[in-house]
Amino acid sequence: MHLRGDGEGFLCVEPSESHPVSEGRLCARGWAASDATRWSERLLTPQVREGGALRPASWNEALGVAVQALTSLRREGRPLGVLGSGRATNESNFLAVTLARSALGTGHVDAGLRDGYQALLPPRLRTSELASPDTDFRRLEQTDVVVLVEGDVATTHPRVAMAILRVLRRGGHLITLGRRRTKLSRVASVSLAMHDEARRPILHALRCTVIDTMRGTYAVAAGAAPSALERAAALMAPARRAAFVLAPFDADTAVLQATAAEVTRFADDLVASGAGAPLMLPLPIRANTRGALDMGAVPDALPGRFPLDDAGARDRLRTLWGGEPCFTTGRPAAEMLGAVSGLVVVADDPLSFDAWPSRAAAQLAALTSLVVLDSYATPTARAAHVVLPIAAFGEEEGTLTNLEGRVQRWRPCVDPPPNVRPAWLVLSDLLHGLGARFAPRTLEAVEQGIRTAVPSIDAMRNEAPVPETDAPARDAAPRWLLRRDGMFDWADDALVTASPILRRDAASARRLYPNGVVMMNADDAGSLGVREGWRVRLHSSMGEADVPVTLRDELERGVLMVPFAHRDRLAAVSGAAAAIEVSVTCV
Amino acid sequence: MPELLLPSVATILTQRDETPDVRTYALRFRDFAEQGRFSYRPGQFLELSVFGTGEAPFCLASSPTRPGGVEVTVRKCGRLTDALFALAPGAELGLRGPCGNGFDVDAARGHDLVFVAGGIGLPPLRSLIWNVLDERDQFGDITILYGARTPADLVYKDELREWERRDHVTVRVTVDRGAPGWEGSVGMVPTLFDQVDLRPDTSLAYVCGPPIMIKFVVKDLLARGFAAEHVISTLERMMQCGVGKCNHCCVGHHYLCRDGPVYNVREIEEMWE
Amino acid sequence: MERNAACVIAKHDVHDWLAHILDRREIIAPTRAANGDEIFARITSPGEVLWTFENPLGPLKQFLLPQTEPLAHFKTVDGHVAVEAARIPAERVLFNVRSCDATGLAFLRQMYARDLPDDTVERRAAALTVVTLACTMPCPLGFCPCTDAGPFLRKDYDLQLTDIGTALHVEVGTDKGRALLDLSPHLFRPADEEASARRTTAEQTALASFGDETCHFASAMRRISTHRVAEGLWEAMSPWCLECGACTHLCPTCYCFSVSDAPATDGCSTRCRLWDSCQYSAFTMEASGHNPRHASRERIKRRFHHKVSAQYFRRDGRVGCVGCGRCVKACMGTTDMPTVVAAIRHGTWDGGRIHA
Repeated sequence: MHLRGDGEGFLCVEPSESHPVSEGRLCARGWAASDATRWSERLLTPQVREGGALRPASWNEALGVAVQALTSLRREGRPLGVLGSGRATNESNFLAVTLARSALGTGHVDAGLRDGYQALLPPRLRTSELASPDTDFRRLEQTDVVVLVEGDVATTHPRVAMAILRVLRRGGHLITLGRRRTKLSRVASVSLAMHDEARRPILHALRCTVIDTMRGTYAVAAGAAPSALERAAALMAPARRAAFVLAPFDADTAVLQATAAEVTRFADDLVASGAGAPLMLPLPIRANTRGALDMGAVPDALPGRFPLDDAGARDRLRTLWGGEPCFTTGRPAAEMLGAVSGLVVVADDPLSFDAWPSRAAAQLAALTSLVVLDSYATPTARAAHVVLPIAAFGEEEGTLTNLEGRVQRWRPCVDPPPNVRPAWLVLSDLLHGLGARFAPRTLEAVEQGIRTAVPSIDAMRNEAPVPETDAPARDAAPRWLLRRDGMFDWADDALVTASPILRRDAASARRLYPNGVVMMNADDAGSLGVREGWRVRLHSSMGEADVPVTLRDELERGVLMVPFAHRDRLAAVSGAAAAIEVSVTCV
Repeated sequence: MPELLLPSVATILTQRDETPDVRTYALRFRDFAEQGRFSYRPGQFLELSVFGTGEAPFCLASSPTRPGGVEVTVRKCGRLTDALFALAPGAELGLRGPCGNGFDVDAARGHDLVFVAGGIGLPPLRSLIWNVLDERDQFGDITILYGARTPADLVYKDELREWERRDHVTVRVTVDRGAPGWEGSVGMVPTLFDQVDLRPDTSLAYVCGPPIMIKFVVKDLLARGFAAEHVISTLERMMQCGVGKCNHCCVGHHYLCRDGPVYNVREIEEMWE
Repeated sequence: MERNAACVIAKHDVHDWLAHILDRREIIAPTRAANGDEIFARITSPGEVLWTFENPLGPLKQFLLPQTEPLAHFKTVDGHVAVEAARIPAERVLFNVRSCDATGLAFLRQMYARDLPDDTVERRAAALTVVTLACTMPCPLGFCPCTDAGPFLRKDYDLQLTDIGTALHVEVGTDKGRALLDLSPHLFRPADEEASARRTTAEQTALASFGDETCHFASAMRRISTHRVAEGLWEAMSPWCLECGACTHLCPTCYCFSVSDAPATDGCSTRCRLWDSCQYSAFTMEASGHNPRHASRERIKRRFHHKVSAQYFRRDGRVGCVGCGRCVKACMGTTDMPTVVAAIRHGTWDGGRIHA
């Protein structure tokens, strides 16, 4: 992607033809990538909280206040935490981890929305072998059958959808397993609808049917039309190479891990039955979630995805950071807000992804010290004790690791506003103030540090591609399931909210239903006698709420879906649960 | 020379709450000469800017027979209207226009006129109604049928009573859902047709309101013998530039902001995308 | 010498000419970016200009209609708002522009000048001088002969250059073009018969290289304009459009926009015109939430109605396509102009499948 400045601070975007990822294409959010610098409410000066309100401060003062607060909390032995981010560069994430494990001596370090992605990683990618070819787009495009589990990938990951369409153009097949009809399910050879809790059973059933078909032990009922599962199996059995694409979905970690385990067993069985090893491509929600994970912004591993007890990794970090870093397991992001007294947040807004935002807001408010580094005035930044304004996209240099595992370099094309600094430099200032030995003063020094801690990073570097070597019968649901919509929320994506062009639909949905809404299948609404905009009462084991209904024909019957943006409006019914049984009555 | 998309500065003279979320503003160009030059037709609209927030189209609710300022009636339903509602009389905003074709007032002279409005569809018709009442002798009998969701959603309540007191003016009001204290009709707008003397041969009907209401009213009027050319309505699309450039409001190759928004039903039937 | 007669310039003199232009004007030309991409960008020395290149993917239209274009600044002075028109960039020369892009710029100018003229665009256009380099070889994905936009131009250029071997043949379209020659009059001599013949041969060779294959716009236009494209066809296409907006952003003839105010800093806000895309769902969404083009198929249908219908053809005098092939390159799916036009003509959609 090329960004250009026009001298007035307005940027425009062009796709790059020669880049192996974009190949001349950009998705809608790519096209809007330059909007955020101009259209969002920027943080333009450091601020500190005084008498309940934030006031402008000098950099020295703000950094001093942050360092002092963190130092005294640490001296008192109170828990501290650091949140990296899939929105920040690798360099910032690495320094965030340095801040946590080296300078603050805490294992509470994570990146928002990291855990859902990590849970879906195939075993090979859970280790320190970062440069696995399993996630390469070109290899995905060369597969014969793609199994897409969950999600509207055309919206969330258009580049992956593009690769899947290329598989179809080459004569390959697509099998989708999902809760709703999407662009890709409409072009799929077989589309298996699945109910929330039935994800594993369906995957399991598909696996058994495919493997039995491959081994010739599957008995087809004579005369009967093949079921959707049988049709899917007939496509998969002869395939030389399959791919599993796991789109992000919003569920408990245990469900995610079970799904990943099922897919892994599926892959093993395919290999055992003579097929090529399938690709397994989990899709992160944020642009640099994979980078944050690789850089160690995770409570239970070290940079480079080394286990906490890996002696070699420990030694390298001792050498780089000096002293004895903290090698203990910390709390994941979802638990961290409620568990620490002091928190440093790097370029993220936990309120935008927390399952229960109002509770999270209360937890943020209860912190003794909240230090926020961000470019934009997010709700989290507004709640901070110290605000440190950092450069936005297009204003700073750094690297991001895309979901394929390519480390891609971004170069600045405009200067940040006068009193705004690159995130890595601010983090380095904090490290310096806290007396850390590794407080690099140049970006090169940060990268040298990353290379020390994550030796395999150079193998991931960029532009060279990694080398080549109908649903099961479902009766009308006896009860209602209230689900949160996928965690990828168009309306909370920074590139969307910042773009005057893209933010319209999401803004409208919120405006029309400021107090929340649930989506319902039109047939269900008909049988309940409810129309668009009418209110229903939802009752669960947790509580009840009245909420208007909006009709969506892509939903399965028996499923109510809460847009992710409205989850807090229904916290009385669902709390933080991704799915909960409810009863529905007309109001 | 003013550029095509540049607004002129105007001042809020007064504001009046019609309902909890609908407000009528009286505005005047800051430049006196510009106010003097400003002329328009009923049915045309203005691009109204709240500086720093944006611009959106609002139909003119006042009559060109009453110079000195313009009025718009606005429902609070978004970022721009939120910002507008936060302004107070005396505040400055931007105006650009008039845009659109508007109603052909000359063609209406000599006819009986039937106005059918739903909800926030009354403001553009109010412009035409006052225009007609101010030139009363040139028009026949007037029938005004107005419906809203609830009694609280009715706009121009005082003017409805005033119109009713005029000679040869019939006003009927209905609401979808009654409320304590409401003694008028309850039901959709078409139910009012049976309460008045419709004369399809001599009348022109003007229909304004939500698309679904327009659809049913037009169907009913045609069934009652109105010629499609004699039923005049406004089409609604998302409009942005107001000058036929930005393409948001196209229906086929018609630009509603430029060629419309006023069309007779014959023209609407012939449109397609 | 007749004032606007064709002339020639020796290739070894071109750098001198460019240097003379650079002394006075900004030059935007195809050049090589740091990562090897060929892009349109400001050049600082004559040697940066590419002479053999594939037409850059980035749209040239951004120099007439920037992706984000400030229209006006609103300043509050003594409690009153002052509306100030945004300034227009200084004069610029667009150099080595391809014929399709020059046609596109002329089309955009025509769209903004018709009916109520948009003076901002007109002033931006007036500040541009367009020097085209006629296409002596077809580009891999172009189909300009089908859209009457190349490979050589009859109009819509200020200067048209043609490579005729050791020299460039120069046709003068306008006085603005002439003014560039007048910066270095000693470098140009009138085109002799041989030069003119070479130029004619170059055009014929270029045209012949396109072969007989055409995009069949006429047949597609008949079907679209008479409502004879089955709804099912648009529906079948729609999953193959990933709604990225690239086709509209890169299209030299697309000009849909939105207007939005950039947040105020120091009490001064800026009203901007931004590229918009009719392929985005919210493009037609009304304040009530109602959206007449909610379904993706409606939007694809709209795009091709605007570009390839008799209704618009009669109004604008040409189809809304210059055959540059950018949409083919940039589409994340397969709903680019040639593929969709072929589908309309055949009445079937196969997702642009690659047949062995």
